[in-house]
Amino acid sequence: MTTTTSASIVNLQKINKTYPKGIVALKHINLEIDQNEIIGIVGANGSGKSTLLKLLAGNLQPEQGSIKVFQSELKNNSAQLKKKISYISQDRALDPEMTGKELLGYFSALYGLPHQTSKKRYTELVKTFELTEFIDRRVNSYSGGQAQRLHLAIGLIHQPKLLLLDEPTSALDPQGKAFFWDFIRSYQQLGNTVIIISHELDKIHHCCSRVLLLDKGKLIADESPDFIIQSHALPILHIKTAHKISNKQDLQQPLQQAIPSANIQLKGQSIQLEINKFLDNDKPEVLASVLQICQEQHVAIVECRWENAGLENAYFKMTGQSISPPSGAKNNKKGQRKRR
Amino acid sequence: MNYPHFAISYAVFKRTWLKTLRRPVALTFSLVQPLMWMLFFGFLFQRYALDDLPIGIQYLDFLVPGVCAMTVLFGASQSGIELIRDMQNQFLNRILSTPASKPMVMAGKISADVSRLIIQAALVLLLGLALGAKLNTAIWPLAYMIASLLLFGVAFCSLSCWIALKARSQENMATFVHLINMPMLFTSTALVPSKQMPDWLATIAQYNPLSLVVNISRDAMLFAESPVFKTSLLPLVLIATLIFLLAALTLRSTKLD
Repeated sequence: MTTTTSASIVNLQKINKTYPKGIVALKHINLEIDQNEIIGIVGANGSGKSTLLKLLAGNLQPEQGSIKVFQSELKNNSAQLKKKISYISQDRALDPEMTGKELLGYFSALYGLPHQTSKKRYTELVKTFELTEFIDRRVNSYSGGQAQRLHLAIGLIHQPKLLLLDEPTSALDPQGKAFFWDFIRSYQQLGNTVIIISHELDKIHHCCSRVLLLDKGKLIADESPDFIIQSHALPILHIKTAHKISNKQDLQQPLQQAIPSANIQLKGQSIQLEINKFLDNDKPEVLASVLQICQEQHVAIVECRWENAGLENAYFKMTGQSISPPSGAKNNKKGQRKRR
Repeated sequence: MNYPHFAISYAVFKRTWLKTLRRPVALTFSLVQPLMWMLFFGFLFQRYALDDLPIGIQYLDFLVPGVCAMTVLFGASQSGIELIRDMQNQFLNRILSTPASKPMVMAGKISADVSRLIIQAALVLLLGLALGAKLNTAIWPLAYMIASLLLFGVAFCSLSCWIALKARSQENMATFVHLINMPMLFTSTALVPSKQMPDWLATIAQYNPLSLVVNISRDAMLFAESPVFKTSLLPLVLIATLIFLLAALTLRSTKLD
């Protein structure tokens, strides 16, 4: 059983959430999050990530279990806690007929910010998110990236201590994404806590102190990203050859026989072996076999290195499912938003 | 009640007005519709005598307070549409995620819509006067008329918002609104005096809130009579309060997606 420590700002105990028609979203979730952490939530579509975030925001109620945020029971202190929490949803909840300036002012009032504070926050956010150029225009004239930046700025108007982000970078360009992740790090350094759902696993790996892996509503891992990768990811052996591989069949067959669990790819001057059943102790043995076969086939090797694959690979190994949504589904979603 | 509560209502009030002004077509149409009723009905029935009315009172004089009330009824029924739009683009979720008091949010919305309806009813009244209606436009008759329209507006804007929160789609809401508006209008004294109705209809008209508003306005503006608080304004106060509370509490308990 999880006990609340003094620094703990989120404490979930035995949380179960089922949607109508018996769809189980979360099963028996126990979780504790300390202040000043960046937590990544990772999982396949429908694994319960967004449900977990909505429960923490107080937007949904669990059937069973208790949720404490900032040491208070969430359901009993919802209005007070909402002043400290911000849930920034996947959908950009903006009024297309209002300007960015009007929207920031509107939410300042709904959060009860005094006039001076509101003015100060407005200036800070416009500067931080580089909104100056379009802040006086109506939202229906914004590009996807501009709307997303405004969406994030509104979520930060009341300086939340706990920031809950559901795929916040989906509409941002690479530059916008880089800016966003830098911002998240600086926001955490101010003493705030960030919980983020994202499919950008490299960024999750580098920014988050902990990663929660969800599969079909179950919390299957709650560890540092490095630990998850080292424990579960499939290692890949990369070999660079001196010349283009001409005798592909002659090389592939013995390699497959020597390491039956490997997924082997030969391309140009590269050999790549992704190994499914593997222990760290087996690495020298595998490498020796590969080098020997290459020598027998007169393939000269220039470079040889092991790569521990990332979170995607670890998740796949643990669940048999891929985290990334199919690219078609992503595009459809974008199209729907645009039409709206 | 402290300052931020009023700031919440004011912010919602301001946004509702802003959006109303940014939709000039909808605003114009909601004004044109009652004007057409007044022109068509006014000139169509102008030639018929009305029983039991003092000599000199024409149908147009009788009709103008009815059309003013009708303007509020039809305009109020559109109040919930904006909530449905907010639900559809997830904006309502964002509002509900804030710690803002939901009754104050509802109060801001209703007060903006009611103030718009009162302005529209005043424009209808001015046009009626321009067309030749003879009405008492002294301060007290006008005040009674505005008070009754205001209470009726609060009740029906709140009802529209409540329906919107329950129906959650414009199609469902439109069906429901038509089911309420038309019977409400034709079982009231807005267009015809109750004495010219069949008995059963006259009985229904007596308890119809629209008749209450129309009768208060008509008594004040045609005969300079003050309303009896207990039997005319009090029921409107009660209806407005109850339906407003229903809408505000429904907003508070609305489940986020």
